[in-house]
This record gives sequence, structure tokens and C-alpha cells, in this order.
Amino acid sequence: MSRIKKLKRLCFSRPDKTTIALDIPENLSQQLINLINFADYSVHIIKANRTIAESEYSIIELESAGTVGYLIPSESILSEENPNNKNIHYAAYSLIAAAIICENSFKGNYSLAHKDHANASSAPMVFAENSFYLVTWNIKIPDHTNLPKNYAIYFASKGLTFSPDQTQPLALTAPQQLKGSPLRIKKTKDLPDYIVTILTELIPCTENPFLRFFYIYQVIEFLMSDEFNARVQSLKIKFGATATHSVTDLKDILKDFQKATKEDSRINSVLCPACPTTGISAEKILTTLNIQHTEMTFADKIYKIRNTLFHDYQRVHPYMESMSTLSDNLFTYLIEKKMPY
Amino acid sequence: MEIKSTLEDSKVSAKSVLIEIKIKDYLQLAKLIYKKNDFQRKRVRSSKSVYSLLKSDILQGCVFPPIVLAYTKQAGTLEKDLSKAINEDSANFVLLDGLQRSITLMEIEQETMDSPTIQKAFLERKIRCEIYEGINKIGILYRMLTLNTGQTAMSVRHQIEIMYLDFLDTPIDGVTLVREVDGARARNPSSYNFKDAIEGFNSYLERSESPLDRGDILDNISSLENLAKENNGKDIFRDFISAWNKFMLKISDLDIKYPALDNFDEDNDSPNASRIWGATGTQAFKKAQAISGFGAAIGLLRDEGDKISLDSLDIDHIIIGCEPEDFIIHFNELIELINEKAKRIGNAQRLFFRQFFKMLFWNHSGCHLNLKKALDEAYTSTVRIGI
Repeated sequence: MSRIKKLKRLCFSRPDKTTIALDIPENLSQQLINLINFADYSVHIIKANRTIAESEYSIIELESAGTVGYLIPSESILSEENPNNKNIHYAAYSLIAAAIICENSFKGNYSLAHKDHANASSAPMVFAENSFYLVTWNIKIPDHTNLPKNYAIYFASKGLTFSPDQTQPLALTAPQQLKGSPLRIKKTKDLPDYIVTILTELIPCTENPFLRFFYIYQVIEFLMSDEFNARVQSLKIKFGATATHSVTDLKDILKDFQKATKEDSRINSVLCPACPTTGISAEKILTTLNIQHTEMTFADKIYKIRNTLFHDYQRVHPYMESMSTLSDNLFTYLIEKKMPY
Repeated sequence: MEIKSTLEDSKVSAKSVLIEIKIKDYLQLAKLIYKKNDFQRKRVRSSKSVYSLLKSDILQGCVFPPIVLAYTKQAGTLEKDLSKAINEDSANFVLLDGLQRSITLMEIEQETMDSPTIQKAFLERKIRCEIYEGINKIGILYRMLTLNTGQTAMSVRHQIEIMYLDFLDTPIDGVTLVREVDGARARNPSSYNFKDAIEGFNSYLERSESPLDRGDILDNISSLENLAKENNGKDIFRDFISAWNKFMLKISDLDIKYPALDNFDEDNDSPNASRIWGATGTQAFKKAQAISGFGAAIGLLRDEGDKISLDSLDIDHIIIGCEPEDFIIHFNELIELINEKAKRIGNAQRLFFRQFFKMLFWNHSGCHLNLKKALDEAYTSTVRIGI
């Protein structure tokens, strides 16, 4: 797409080849339009588990590069009534999203469009429903082709998920509105794909709280195996540091190794510091189950519930609501406090 | 020139006549008609390279799709004497599809003036024209709206304007309707944006404050056809605009102004003014959302059995119900709250105005003819309904 001075309207091609003309609102600033090279930008669909207000938005910042994009409600695209239309940067990113979605339609690509785009006759049916468009400036983002994978955990911590199939998440943290303040995105380091998928797709989209807890516990297992590897590595170094070891030294190393293999030890290391909110939810379930918990650590409580759920499911089956609260709180804790950025 | 095929078009009750015609003969007609279709959008600017490619293609004898014309005289006229109709009856022809191609042909004729041989060969070449014979205005519009796929589509605003073009000529005391295509703005007290007026009128007919979209326009063609048959539509439109104008003049008389904006110029989009919904009563209501809400509300009140009609609204007895400044401040605060919460701001604002006018004109609302009370009740009920 070549550079242009002013857009009067955009055209969207439906799958039946009908072309829909979409007027550009007069009050939408086009001050920066001649500076835009549309090929330098990407658009992704982001979902939240709440109703998104048209007036909310967020600036996307990267520590090393400043502003790299905007998060814009899909329902605000080409809306004449949007209060941010005069914000020149917001307007530019909003137009980029609109132009890319319309251009994609002529290539038969409707992944960013409304689910009912086949019957579209105006903007509300062209642009996705109750979603955000994440519009990013590629040249400012290292490894921008892997943007969803690299930043999905960060967005999940803000209650947002990348959603190529536009699935509405059910459970996510941080339900508050975005009021224009920046989101300083952080890349997640060294997480296996399955953990990213669990945290950003499976847990948020799983309705059953028991299943949600199961997924969450896979993340705890991953953190525990990471802890195990770290401890073993440390023991290896300790063992390799000396050519010959005394019996006492060997006994200590062996003791440490045995400790590293024990789940309760590792879970206590992993789930530290404790999360008071999640702790209260866990205690509520344990009390209901008549399980004494006064002497238990936070990690012990989670571990106990895990054992009951996995080995004696019938006891917890009636307490779906309590499990849902626990799962939500534990998910928030893990994603906010335990993910490596 | 000769007729090659004739087919019946039952949808628009016309005959589709396919002819072959020399470019020379077509240009003679085209020059007389290419500017007169009110429905036709302005010429689309294409890149120079596309134009020059098209021109060189045509000079090389490229065949392009038929140019589509409408001929409003009764079916059979063309078959009787095609040459006579083409050469002497341009007043009844309308260019439906092929404006850009016709202009290109005219340009080629101009550009080959210095090369008579090339020009002669060009003018003698034949093209195809498809002529809808015996078609009426609604049919022309229908054809234009349904057959413009594949080319640059008309915007909804343009479609609305051409669809209701006849209403522009409707005389309404003191009211001016301004079309966007004329490049004017509805600044004067009794001048209104034509598209907004049509949307408000449509909201009244449909009992819904939602804006018109392309699908609605096509659906409305049949209802417009009915209205046209009864010759009733224009009277209702006149009543509707008169009632709205009366309300707006009343609001203007109430002298509602935002504090500290005494020197505020209603035509001036100053930064202070642009941050708020309306700095004056007139500004607060002179919007598409308000007139649509008004249309829908009055329509709904009529359906709900309230003895209410456009010409019997008791507009003269409307009161503010509080200090004018307090009213406009509160009004702006509520709109701001709606803007913050709404999933789709335009729809929420339209719903808010619908509720406002329902409360204002419903005898049993407890807010009857009281702007302040209607405002509060409108906000409460809008949030309750869901935005």
C-alpha cells in the first residue's frame, strides 16, 4: 500500500465479492497519515473476559523502544462518536487497523474481521466484536513475528489474551478498564510452548474449575521441575568442586539430593512467598473438607487440595464454586508473581 | 447501431436492451448525459498509469464490458427507432454504469485530434451498451445499488442522499436541508444536515434509533416505493422535520449555555468546545443521535397508544426544570458517563436520546415536558436497558 495524504473511505470485500464502502469519520485525525507505511505494521486480535468499552485504549510501550503500538477497541474503529478520534497517534493506529483489515479482505483473509463479515453492510459488521486490536510498529519490536508467543504471558497478566479464533476467555485476571495509560510490555523468557498455551489459552478458556485447577497444577509442576533442575545443577557444581569428598560431605550432598526429589520440599520453594488471597480460598476448601490446616504452609495447602482432587475427587466434587475462586486466585498469583520476564 | 438482444427485467419492471454502437455515436449521446445523473458519484481519480494503460488498450481495440444506460421512455420505443432515440432523445437517457469509461473515451477523442487516421479508426469502432428501457427512478436507484459490486462502492452517506433526493425539494417553512455533497455545513439555527434528517425520519418510520446501513437502504427501497405510490411520504417527512425544528427553536429560546463560555461561537470548534458534548442547548441536540432518538421515541409513543402525533407535540410548554447552566453541565456529565461505559458509543447515545424524548413527551412519565427530569430518567433507564 503506498503512502497517501488523506483517506476518504475504505473498501471491504465480502467473500461474495460485494464491496462495502466505509466512510472515514470527518473528526478522525489524519495528521500522520502521510507518514505511515502500512507494511510496517501488524494487527492482532486481543480478547478480555469482560465487555470492552469503546472509549478505553492503551499505548503499548517497550522499555528499549518507547511507544511501539496501540491497543484499540474493535468497536471504536471508524466510529464517528469515539472521543479519541482527535488524538493524532490514536487515530493513526486506528486507521492502520482499519486499512489492514480492509486490505486483507481483498486477499480473502478475514481473520481479523467480524465473525459475521459475510453479511457485513457497515463498519460494525466488518470489525471484530468486543475485542481489542493490538496494532504494532514492527520495526520497533525485535522478533516481531513471534509477538504473540513472546508477550502472551504479559498480556494475560493484564487480563488480555491473543485470540486468533476470537474465542472469548472465561477466566482472566485484572478485569479493570484501560484508561489510556501505557502497557509496558515485557517479553517472557525461556518458557516452553505448552506452558504459554496453558496459561494464555487453556486456563482462560476452560469453564470447569476442576479442569482449570488441573491445568494450573501443570504450571506448578513445571516450576517444580525447574526448581529440581536448579538444585541438581547446584549439587553437581558442589560435587565437582572437590576431587575427593569426605563421608560427611557426601552424606550432606545425598541429603540435599533426596530433599530435591521430594515434592513437598520443591512446592514450598516454588510457591514462596505465599499469596494471602489464594491462601484464604484454599483454607475455605480445606475447612469444608474437614482437613486440619493450621500448621500447613501456603504450598502445603495447595498440595493437599491437589492430592484430594487427583486421588479422592468425590470429596471435592460438590464444591465447584470454591474451586473456581481458588483456581482464579492461584492463576492470578502464578501469572503475576511467578513468570520469568 | 443495432439491437442485439432484448430481455425482460421483472425486478425493476423494465426491458434490458443490448445494442452495439459506434464510439462516435455513443460519444455524441454521452457528452449530453454524463453530467446529469444526480445519483452518480463524482469521477474517481485513478493513477495516471492505469488511465494511460486503459487508453492505449482502447486504441488497440480492447473490448470492455457494456456501458449501462437507463432510458425512461416506455418499453418498445428503442425497438421502434433506435437511431432516433439515441440521436434526438438524450433527455430521457441516464448513465448508470460507465462514467469513468465514458470520460476516458472523450479524452481519447480529444487526444487524437492531431492524428485523424487514428481518431477515425477509434470513432468507428463499436462498443456495447445495455439500456434499461421504461425504467423509473426507483428502478434506476435499485440497479445502481445492486450492480455496483466490483467497482468503487458508494458510501452509505451517498446512498442515503440519493435515495431520498426528492425530499430535498420538499418545502418546509424556514428549514434548510444541507447535503454533504454540496460542501456546506448546517450552521444556521434552522438548517440541518440532510443525512441526519433522513436518519431521524427513518428512525420515526422504523421506530428504531439505529443508524441506516447499506442493507437497510436496499430494504427501504420497497417501502419508499410504497410511500411514493401513496404520495404520503413527503407529508410525513415535512411533519417530522417541522416538529424537530420547532423543538430546536424552543431549545434555542431557552438560552442554555455552558458557564464561562459566554463568548462561545457556535461555529467555532475551539479546543474548549470540542472537549464537551454540547456547549449550548442547540449544540447538545443538533446531532444525528438526537434527531434519531427523537424519531424513534415519537414513533414508539404512537405505537404504545399514547395520543401523540408529530404536529401535536406540546413543545411550547417545555421547561428546563433547573438553572440553564446546571442543566447543560449535567447533560455533558451524563454523556461523558455514557461514553466511558458504552460498548459502542454511538448506539448508547442514540438509546439515551430515545429515552430522553420518550420521557419528555410521554404524558405519564413523571418528566413530561421537563428537560431536567427527562434527562435523569433517560440516563437511569439507558443504563438499565444496557449499553
